[in-house]
Amino acid sequence: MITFKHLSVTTKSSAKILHDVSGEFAPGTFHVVCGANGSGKTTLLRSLVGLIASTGDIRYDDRTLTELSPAERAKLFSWVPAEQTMAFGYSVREVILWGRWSHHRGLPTSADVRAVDAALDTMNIHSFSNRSVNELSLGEQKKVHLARAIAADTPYIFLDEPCGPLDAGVSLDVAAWARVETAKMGKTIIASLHDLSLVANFADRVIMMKQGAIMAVGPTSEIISPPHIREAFGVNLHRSPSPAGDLILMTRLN
Amino acid sequence: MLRFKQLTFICAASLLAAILINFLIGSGVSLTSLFHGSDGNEILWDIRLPRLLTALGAGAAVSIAGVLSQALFRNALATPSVLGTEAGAAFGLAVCAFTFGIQADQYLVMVSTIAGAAVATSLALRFASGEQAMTRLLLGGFAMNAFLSAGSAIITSRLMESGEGLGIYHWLMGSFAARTGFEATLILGALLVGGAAAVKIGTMLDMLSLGDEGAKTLGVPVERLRLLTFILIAVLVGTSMSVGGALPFIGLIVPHFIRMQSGPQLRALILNSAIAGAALVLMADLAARTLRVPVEMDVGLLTTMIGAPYFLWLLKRETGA
Repeated sequence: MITFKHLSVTTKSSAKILHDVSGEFAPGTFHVVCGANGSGKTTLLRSLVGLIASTGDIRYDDRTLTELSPAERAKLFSWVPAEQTMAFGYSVREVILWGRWSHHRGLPTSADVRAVDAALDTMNIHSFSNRSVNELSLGEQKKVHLARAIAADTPYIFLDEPCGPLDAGVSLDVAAWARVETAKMGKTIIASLHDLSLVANFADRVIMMKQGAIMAVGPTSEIISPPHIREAFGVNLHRSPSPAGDLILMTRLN
Repeated sequence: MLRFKQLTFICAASLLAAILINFLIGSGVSLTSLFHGSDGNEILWDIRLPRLLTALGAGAAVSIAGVLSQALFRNALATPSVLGTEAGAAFGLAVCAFTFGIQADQYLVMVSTIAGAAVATSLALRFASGEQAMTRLLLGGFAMNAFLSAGSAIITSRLMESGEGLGIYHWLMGSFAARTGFEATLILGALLVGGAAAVKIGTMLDMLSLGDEGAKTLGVPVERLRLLTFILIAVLVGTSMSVGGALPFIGLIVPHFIRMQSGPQLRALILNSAIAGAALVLMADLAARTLRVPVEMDVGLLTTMIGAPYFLWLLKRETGA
């Protein structure tokens, strides 16, 4: 269980980009953070993984974030940012193996190699496992970093815009994977997503952000609803069930 | 791309060949002098061996410093000679010679060069943040190199007045002439400790290629790693400068060439760069003492003649100019 209380983030120019935010992420659940551009989604995720300084209290189970060492954090949660650049041409396999570093802290064991192979399978990227990550397309690179998070085998996984550069098919695969990892493997996944169709059909719970604060939080069916979407994005939401899942359409107001 | 073991074999064979050639080529010795008491025997064991070991150690140390520097700044161009680290160490050497004389205690020289390297690298670290970090770093390094080199030149010209200037000039330009077992021990000691520490932190430095945030979330204690790497660079460059003077561009061309052959993984890169760097500097030193007999050329000038064009080619390739 992740709990955060009275979380605030202020920029160097004194702009408050997260206002006294509190909440919790229950285990074994696929949580999605939604909101318009600049609403504070990424800031919330980055503060929860300790990448930006925030005031307030963040707890993973019974321990505060500040008392966890870098290695303890890496065993507890993985983080895949929206954009990830890399210096030098490391191979896909090497980069995924870095996800295991907090487990071995020296030379990788056979268990680490097995975890890498399993992650390559999950993301279906065996075919380019020996290529340099920097030679791959943005979507392929994203898959590599997702595989790194999978190989890390942490109870909590934070994903900032995981489907950003991915095509429709792979986006569906990633969302479905998140659903399975949380429901069957007991992982807790917290992702920011823009695609409301994916959110509506795969997320368990949604935190809707607006102007640096939590506007609404609850089960997906409750939050991905016309009033909330109108308030958060200023658009109309049309949602209708179908045998393959909910069909989502957005239209401009008026 | 070559496999790690193949490349290590090639590098080791090159080093062995460089050692043998260095040991045996030159005036007054032959293969038989290795085993028979003669003047040639003394030249080999008392003069050439310490010189060879010092050059070997310095070449390896500067190459490892180059690898570490590239990893720390996440860029193949960010090496000790480009950032001003070597110029800082040289300035430390000049200040020490000016203050305590050219015959100053070797430990004092080493402390001065390490301090000079540390100050220059810490300034480079300040340039390497914010937007256009690499441009700022290279321009900052350019200014620092110019400033520190001018400082060293002023001190050298002052020392010329007292007759010590020529010695310090050749030292600054890179020279392994008349080195003793003491200097060889110093640099090999620094190489052993620095090299082992570099290999130990190699994987963490690999992960630093994802940036500070990426490495942090993988469990790397980034601030501590940065400090340790910074100290290792200063010690390796500073000690090398104190025993053999400047070896410009060795820390750039060797790691870059090895990375092109066998990939960027740091542990392998450190080992192979150390071996190849040692071989290259040994050959440069051989050229320095044999090309214009009886005059010795400065080793640093020779490494610059190879390294500077390589750097320009690399700069063109990196920037797509």
